[in-house]
Amino acid sequence: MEAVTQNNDARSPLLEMRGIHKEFPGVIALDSVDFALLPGEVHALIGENGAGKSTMIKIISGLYHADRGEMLVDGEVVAFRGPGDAIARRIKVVYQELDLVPGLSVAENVFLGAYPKKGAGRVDWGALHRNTAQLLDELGLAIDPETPVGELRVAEQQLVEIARALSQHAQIVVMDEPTSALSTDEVNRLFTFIRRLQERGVGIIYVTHKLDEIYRIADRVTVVRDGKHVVTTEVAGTSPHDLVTWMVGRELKDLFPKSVVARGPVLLKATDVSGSGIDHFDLTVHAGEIVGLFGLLGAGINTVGRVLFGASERASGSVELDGQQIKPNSPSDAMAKGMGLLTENRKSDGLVLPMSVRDNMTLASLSQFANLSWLNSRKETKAASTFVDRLSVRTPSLRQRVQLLSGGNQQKVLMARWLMRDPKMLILAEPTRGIDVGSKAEIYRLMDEMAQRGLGLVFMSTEIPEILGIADRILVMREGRIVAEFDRGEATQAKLVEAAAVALETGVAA
Amino acid sequence: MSAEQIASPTQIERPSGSAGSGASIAQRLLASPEGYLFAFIVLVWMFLAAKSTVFLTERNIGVLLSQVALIAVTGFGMTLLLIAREVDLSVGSMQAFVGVVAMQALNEWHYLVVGIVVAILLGVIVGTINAGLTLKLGITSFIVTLAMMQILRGAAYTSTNAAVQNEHKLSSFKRVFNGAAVEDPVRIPWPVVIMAIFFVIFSLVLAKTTFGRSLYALGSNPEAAALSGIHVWRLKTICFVVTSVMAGLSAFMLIARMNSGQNNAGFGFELQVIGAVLLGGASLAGGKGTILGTFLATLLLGSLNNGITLMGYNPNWQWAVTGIIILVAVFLDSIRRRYTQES
Repeated sequence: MEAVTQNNDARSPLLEMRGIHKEFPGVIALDSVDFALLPGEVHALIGENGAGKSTMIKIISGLYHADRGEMLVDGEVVAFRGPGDAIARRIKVVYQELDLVPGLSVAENVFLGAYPKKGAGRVDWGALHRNTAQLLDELGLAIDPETPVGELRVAEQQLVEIARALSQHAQIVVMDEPTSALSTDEVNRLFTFIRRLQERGVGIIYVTHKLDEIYRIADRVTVVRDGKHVVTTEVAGTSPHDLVTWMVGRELKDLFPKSVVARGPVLLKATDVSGSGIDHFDLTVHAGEIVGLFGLLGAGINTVGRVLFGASERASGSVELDGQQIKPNSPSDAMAKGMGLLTENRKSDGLVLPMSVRDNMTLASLSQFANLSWLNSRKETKAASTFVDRLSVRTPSLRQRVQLLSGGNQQKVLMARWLMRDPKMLILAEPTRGIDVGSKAEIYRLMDEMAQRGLGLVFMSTEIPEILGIADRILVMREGRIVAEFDRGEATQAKLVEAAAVALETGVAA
Repeated sequence: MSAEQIASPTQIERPSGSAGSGASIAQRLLASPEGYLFAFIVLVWMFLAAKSTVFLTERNIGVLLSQVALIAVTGFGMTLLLIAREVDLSVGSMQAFVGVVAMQALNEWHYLVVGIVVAILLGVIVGTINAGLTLKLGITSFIVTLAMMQILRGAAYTSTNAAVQNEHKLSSFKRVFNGAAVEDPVRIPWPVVIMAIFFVIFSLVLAKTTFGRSLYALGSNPEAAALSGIHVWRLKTICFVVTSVMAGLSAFMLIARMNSGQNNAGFGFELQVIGAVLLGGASLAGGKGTILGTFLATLLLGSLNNGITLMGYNPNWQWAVTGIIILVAVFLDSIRRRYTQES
């Protein structure tokens, strides 16, 4: 193993980008960006959505070609024609969307395409399983190499993906928001593992939205904004405030603009709701109130929203909105009575990606814009442009495909979809997941505004700071049931974590 | 870290629409699958007009469009179905089954309208069964309609040995296919008029109604559509029924042309239809496709087949040529999409 020298400048970069420029029709994605990754360093790459991080990764991984500029690996200029070329240069990208084959075993996935062979092209299964077991062991992963990957939890799959990087002797590992689906424990394990890679001299590019992680794991950080390189610096010596300012390009004063809203009459009353893993759930939401639902992954906070809205099965219990009973399992009934649901998966069950911004906004209220089902497109355009202004959605036009918008703006489009219906209450499941800091602040501001207008909001989150910052009342869930309730001001990070994570034996009493 | 390392927060300039004012007409034409097909058709027609004096005659174009109508009318229905991420393989056997039954009905009751009602009714029944099995039992429509295709073919064979003739020589009947709806200034055959009417209706429904919009949304992202209050199964049922009804109407035009209902009619018809719809820009993954695209694709394939016959080649080449054209067109379209960054 190579010794890591003290003097950074003496190390020659594993990867270097010089003046990289990339344009898409209508957008300059990267504007002469420089970047260098040293051996044995964890280099955080941050920026708001749409800043150019993913384009950089895709160029590094060979998916895109730069229009101008050059890229060097180990000091040699490279021109990747595809991901295969990048892999050949020992570059491994671990994407958020994992590219494992669910039906194959862990071992088969880890060594996919490079199985140890016995003569005559036969796979040496013994060696395959032994090698995999050894790798998993190094990672501290207690997984049977013969388990089909599809049966693993997302977090474990992610670690398998990283084991694959090891098996390929990757020299450069790119991790794209690797912790977005991991529990605290799993994050710790991942970090231990990253340290091990570091010791071997592997360079790691770490893309994240979570600033605290940067301080825990990264040596240097590069900030990009609007396709331009803003700064590269040692992490030590920067404050989170610096990072945010660099990313957003301006001072971000108030992340949680929380106004005091007088609690109105009871709006939603869910009584003894069970089904889809939700266990005897009671919830009351008042007009103008933001109720936060907090829980760790798997606690069922997002399922609550689906059950209330009728998108997941409600086996028993009643849901009443503004005095009217909502039929179980019927989203259209819930909608008719004034409820809206923003799901936690923008792309898979929210947006219609190939459709325009306008058409995505009007999708849940088409009948408003139609006369005997004949659409009045001028009316649609007018309504959509009102909402683009009101929510400050940044889009070149209403006809832009929603796919091409940044995550924060996509989320605003979905909020507009529901606000157009003029609902009485909205359920927002992790509305800021995968969104940059600037957009998060805007989403919070919009939520606050909605509450001021008298909407009732239920807001699910796995991130404590935002729950503490924006909710009037916080319910903590564990295993499909509510285990604690706090008023704003009464709740603290420690109390929430404790309530959410208490071991089962002491928790069942609730 | 020092402030001078921070780039100035200038906005990047966004050129307004790359295919904007600077683009030539040709570029704009080729920016859509329909444009591609149109250009293709123009080339084929220019070639055929140069090679054959018969091609551009009123009579030949009338025959060509009448043949195109048979496939296009069913194709319009199939376009809806493919947008909804479903498919119907039974439309070919429908040609035989509906043909045989409708002709028997005609022989029994002697009214043209009876035959048409029977064709539509059978379409409604078959479409409802296809939809029911697909949506209630959760079997993929590929399998359901594959089975339906065999069942209907079997039913057609069992009901008659070869063909049901037009016993009563219903004279109004033959006009459905061969008669002209308009004689002056140009002769326009009935099938072309029927196709044109459906073309307009289907195009407007897809482009201008809540049904059309919901259908595209449902095809691209069924989950999102359902959570936006769109009744997924209702829309899909409509698509299944419409497709079968349109297949029934095609079948009726076919028996008018043959003047008999034949139990071996429509062999491979389903693949001609689906091939044309895909060529027209639809996708088996749903969410895409237009009526104009389907029409142009049908016209392109029809023109090639017409040309093969006119130029005296072995008409059996039609099959292979159709296949090759579909491959070439899909290949060109994939290049086009890569160029325009469309997903």
